[in-house]
Order: sequence, then structure tokens, then C-alpha cells
Amino acid sequence: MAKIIMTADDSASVRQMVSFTLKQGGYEVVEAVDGKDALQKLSGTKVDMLITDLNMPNLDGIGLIKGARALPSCKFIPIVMLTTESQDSRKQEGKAAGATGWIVKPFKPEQLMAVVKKVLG
Amino acid sequence: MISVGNAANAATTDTELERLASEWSVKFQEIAQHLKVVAGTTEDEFLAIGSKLQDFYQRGQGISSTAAEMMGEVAGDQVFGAMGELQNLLTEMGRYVDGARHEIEQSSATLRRILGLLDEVGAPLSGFKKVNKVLRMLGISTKIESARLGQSAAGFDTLAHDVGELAVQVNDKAGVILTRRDDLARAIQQTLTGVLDAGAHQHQQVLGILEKTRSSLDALSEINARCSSAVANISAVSEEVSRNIGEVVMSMQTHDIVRQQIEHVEETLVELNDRLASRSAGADEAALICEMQTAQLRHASSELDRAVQAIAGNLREVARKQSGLSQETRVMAGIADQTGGSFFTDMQQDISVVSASLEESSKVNQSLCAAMHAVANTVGEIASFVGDIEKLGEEIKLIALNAQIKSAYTGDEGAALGVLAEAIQRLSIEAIDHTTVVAGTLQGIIGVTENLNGGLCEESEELEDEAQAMVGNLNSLVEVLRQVNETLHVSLARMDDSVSRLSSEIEQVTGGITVHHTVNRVLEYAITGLGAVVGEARRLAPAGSQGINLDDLAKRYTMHSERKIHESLSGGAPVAQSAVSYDDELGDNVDLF
Repeated sequence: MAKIIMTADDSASVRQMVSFTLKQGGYEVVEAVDGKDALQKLSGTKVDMLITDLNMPNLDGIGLIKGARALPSCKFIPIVMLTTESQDSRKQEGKAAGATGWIVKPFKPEQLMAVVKKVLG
Repeated sequence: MISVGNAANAATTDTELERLASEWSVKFQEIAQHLKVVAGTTEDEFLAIGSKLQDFYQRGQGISSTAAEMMGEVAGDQVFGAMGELQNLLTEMGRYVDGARHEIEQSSATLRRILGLLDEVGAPLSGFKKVNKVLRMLGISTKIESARLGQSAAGFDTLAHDVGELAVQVNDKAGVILTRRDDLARAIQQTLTGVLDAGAHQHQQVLGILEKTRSSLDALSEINARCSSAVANISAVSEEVSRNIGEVVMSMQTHDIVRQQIEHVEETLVELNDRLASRSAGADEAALICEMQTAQLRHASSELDRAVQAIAGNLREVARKQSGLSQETRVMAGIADQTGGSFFTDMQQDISVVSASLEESSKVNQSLCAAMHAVANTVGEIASFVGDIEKLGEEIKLIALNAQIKSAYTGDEGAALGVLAEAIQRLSIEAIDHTTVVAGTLQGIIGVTENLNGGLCEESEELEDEAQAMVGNLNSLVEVLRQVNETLHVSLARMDDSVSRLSSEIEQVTGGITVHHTVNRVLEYAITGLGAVVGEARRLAPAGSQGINLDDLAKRYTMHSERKIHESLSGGAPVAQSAVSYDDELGDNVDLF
């Protein structure tokens, strides 16, 4: 059975490209338009990995990671930030919140796939 | 200490700034509004391209799979096996044709030998004529001598009559033999000409076709070998297409990056407007911030242009590569194109000629067989006539013996008749000798004919079956290859159609991308507006950014490129690259904790 990965991003075109890349790799994808939407969906859907943007309306990426880590089903899943933000301070913030990794946009499909394969084992 | 003049100047500048700030406020609001709209409404075009990308990718993969399948089919076991069998069959047929040629040559030699033997029969046969002539003369002399002697030679007249009769019979039989011999020689000559003509024609034709088929097979082998290596090439093209799609995926994200950059400019202008209104920012800060935003917008504009060009270029590249793949597949697997569109049709036509030629060969064998039968029959007939002549000779010999005995009884008067009887006896022996010579030659012909006839007629049917079996096999093998070819043609047509539709749709999508023009128009409008503000602001506060605190502005930037532009214009410390060590294996923008 295909693993399920959630992509949370307020940019529909980024969600589309993440989704396209992951589906080519044989994964199922759940999309969320912001942190709040993602958190809602996470409470009802079991996912194997979360890929989230940092700056999003309603609830940002850091808030989402914290919220997700509080959910028993998301406590140990890999969470990777996918953002235009490249500052170390923000990365540290993400790491402290529970992020597994950080990808600065734009990503290459093969990079994203390599990261996914690495963190999902 | 501030002089009166300076104070007056400061007051004028403040008034001017106040006036300009209110004009700039309108301008900033307009620009911010346009930027907000353009940042929020241009995504649909990207989404439309993105939704097509999935389709293009899958169709491209489908085309590559079809190409790989086709190459696999040509280089596959079925074609390889059929080609091997065809190669063997061609060798076998070559051997068969050479064998047939040898056979015909042997038959021709035999027929020539028979002709020679028939020619040899001529001399003893003409001897019969001489015997007949002399016998008749002796018969007349006997009659004359018998008449002269009168009653004492009674019976010699009848004897002479009998000898004359027998001589005529010998002559008639010899004549028939000669006629039969001549007829047979003519028939053999005709058969010989036919056999030689047919043999040479058949041999050349079949060998020519076999050679042509062998060349076609060599061409096919070459295609087969190339197809085996082309499979790797298809996979390389597939990888290249994947890289192109990857480039598109990367460029598609530029929309989000540019959107954020535009939003940051918009936010900055709104904030600057507020700061000017509250007089917490002066003309120098307004000029510097506008210069910075202009640089940010120019960067955004060029990035968007680059991304759109990359999207269009890479998608066109996908179409070009798929089209190239289709062309290559046609060359590699398209056997028809290699040989003018009739590779297998030609092969099948050639095989039907080979089949006809082999049938002709079989007919030649049959005609040779018939000729040999005719030779045997005629020679049998001649032998029977020769036997008759031999019997006649024996009869004459007996008559002569009787005459000799009778002449001895007649006494001295019958001496002449005795001489005549002796001559007749000698001639009968001569006639018998001639028959022996003719019979010996005929025996030779019979022997040669039987040898040829036996071998030829026995093998004839066997060879015909063998030839038909070979033609059948040849047809089956060519049919296998023809079917593969037909499948390839169908696949090629399907692939061409897919490539053509994909190319046309890609062209339609790439040709319809206008988002960069729309965005750039707005950005140019903003840049022009900000340029005017910079000009007016710089009149009030000539160049210099000392003392202006842009830290808050810098905090807004999320992207490295934004910070770099900011730093280059603010004269601040160079923007540091991330200190966190990137995972080299995954790329310099990936960091796993």
C-alpha cells in the first residue's frame, strides 16, 4: 500500500508541484491550504510524512509542527519544512519545534524524492 | 549653530516633502494595489500549466515505453529466431540449387554421351546397306548361273529369290533403325537444349534471389543489433525528459517565490507610506527604500521571465525529444523505411519466384525422366530390329550353307554356284557382325540411360517434396517477420500520433503563457512610479544612506536573494550564507536535522 504524505502550503502551484512529484514516486498525497487546515486533516487522517511551508495564513509552519507533534499519530513521523526561508535562525526554530529537515524552495523533484526516501526509510 | 538661511531651507524642504509625500502616498497606494492584485491573481495560469504537466509527463512516458517495446520486439527472440532459421534455410536452398545444377550438368553429359553412342550406330548400320546391295547382286548372279545350268541347278532359283527377299528385309530393318536413331537424336538434342536453358535460367534466378534475400536478412540483422543497443538510448532519452520535467517543476515554483517578493514590496510600500505620513521617514529613506523595491521588482521580473522561458523551453524540449525518439524508433525499427517501404513484400514476391523456379526445376527433372524413358523405349525398339536383322543373317547363313552343299552335289558344273553360296555366307556373317556392333552400342546406351533414369526419376519426387517444404518454411518465416513488421507499423503510427498530439498541445500551452507579460506590465508600472518618487526624493535628499535604519525592512525578507539585494543597496554587512551544514548528497538547499 502506498504511503501517504501531506503537503501544507498556501501556494496552490507549490502544492501542485509537490503533489506531482510525490505521485510520480508512487506516494499518495493529501493537500492542506494552511497550517490550520493541515492540523484539522491530520487529526482525521493518518499520514506517514508531512511536508510544510513556513509562512502560511491562519497557522504557520512552526505552529503546525508543534500542533502535529502533539498528536499521537504524528509524534514520530518525519516533518520536513519546504520554504523560501533560508535563515539559520528560522531553521533552528523549525528544528526546535520538531522538524526533521529543511528544504529551501525551489526544490528539484529528484531532491524531494531523495529526502522522502531517506526520511521514510 | 543653525543659520537663518539654513533654517529657511529646512522649512522649505519640509514643506516640499509634505507636498510630495501626499503625492507619493497616492502613488504608493496605487502601486501597492496593483501589486496586490497581480500577486493574487496570476496563479491560475501556472496551475493550468501544472495540471497539463502531469498529463504531458505520463504521455511522454507512454511514448518512451512504446519505443522501448518496439525496439524490444525487433531485437526480441521471435525475430532473432526467425532470422536464424531464415539464414539456415537460405544456406540449405543454396545447397539445393547447387545440387540441382550439378544434377542437370550430369544429365546433360549423359545425354551427350548417348548422342555420341547413337552416332556410333551409324557406321554398322550403313554396313547393312552394303550387305544388302551385295546380297542382291549375288542373288541375281545365282539366278543367272542357275538359269545357265538348267535342270541340274534346280532349286538355286528359289534360293536366290529367298536371299533377295531376306536382303530387302535387312535393308528395311536397317532403314527403320536409322530413322529411329535420327528421331531419338533429335529428341535428345531438344531435351538437352531445354535442360541447359532451364537449368542456367533457374540457377541464376534462384541464386540471385537467395543473394538478395540474404542481403535483406543482413540489413535486418543490422537493424536487430541496433535495436538492442537503442533500448539503452531510449532510457537515456527518458531520463533527459525527466530532467526537463524536473526543470519545469522547479520553474513552476518561481511563481510562489515571485509572489512573495511582490508581496514584500507591497508591504514595504504600505509601511513607507505610513512612515512618511507620520513623518518618521524622510526623503532620503523614501528614496533608498524605493530604490531597493525597484531592485526587488526588477529581480522578480527577470526571475519570472527566466522561469517562464525555462517552462516553455523545457516543455518544447520534451516534445522535441519525444519526436526525436519517434524518428529514431522509425529508423531503428522501421524496416520499411530502410528498404523503400516494401521489404517483406519484396521478400515474399522473391520467394514466389523461387517457388516457381523450383517448380520449373521439377519440370526439367520430369522432362529428363521422360527423355530417358523415350531413349529406353526407342533403344529397345532398335534392339528388337537389330535382333531381327541378326535372325535374317542367320537365315541367310543357313541358305548359303544349303547352297554350298547343293552346289557340291551338282559337281564341277555347280562350282560357280558354290562360290556364290560361299560369298553369301560371308555376307551373312558380316551382317551378323554388324548387328553385334550395333547391339553392343545399344547396350551401352541402355546402360547409361538406366543409370540416369533410375537416379533421376527416383529422386525427382523426393526433390520436389523437399523444394516445396523449403518454400513453405521460407514463407512461414517471412510471414513471422512480416507480422512483426506490421505490428511495428501499427505501433509507429500510434506513436507518431501520440507525439504529434503531444507536441501540438505543448506548443499550445507554451504559446499561451502570458502570465509573465501580465506581471511584468504591472512591475514596470510600479518601477516607473517608484523611479519618479526616487527622482523627486533625491532632489530633496541627494544620495546617501547613512543613518537610515533598515533592520525592520530586512526582517521582512524571507529569501536569500531578497536579502542580497537589500544588502547591496543598504551598504550593510554582506548576507551570510546559512551556517548550517547542508547535506551535500541531497543538494545545497536541503538540510536534514
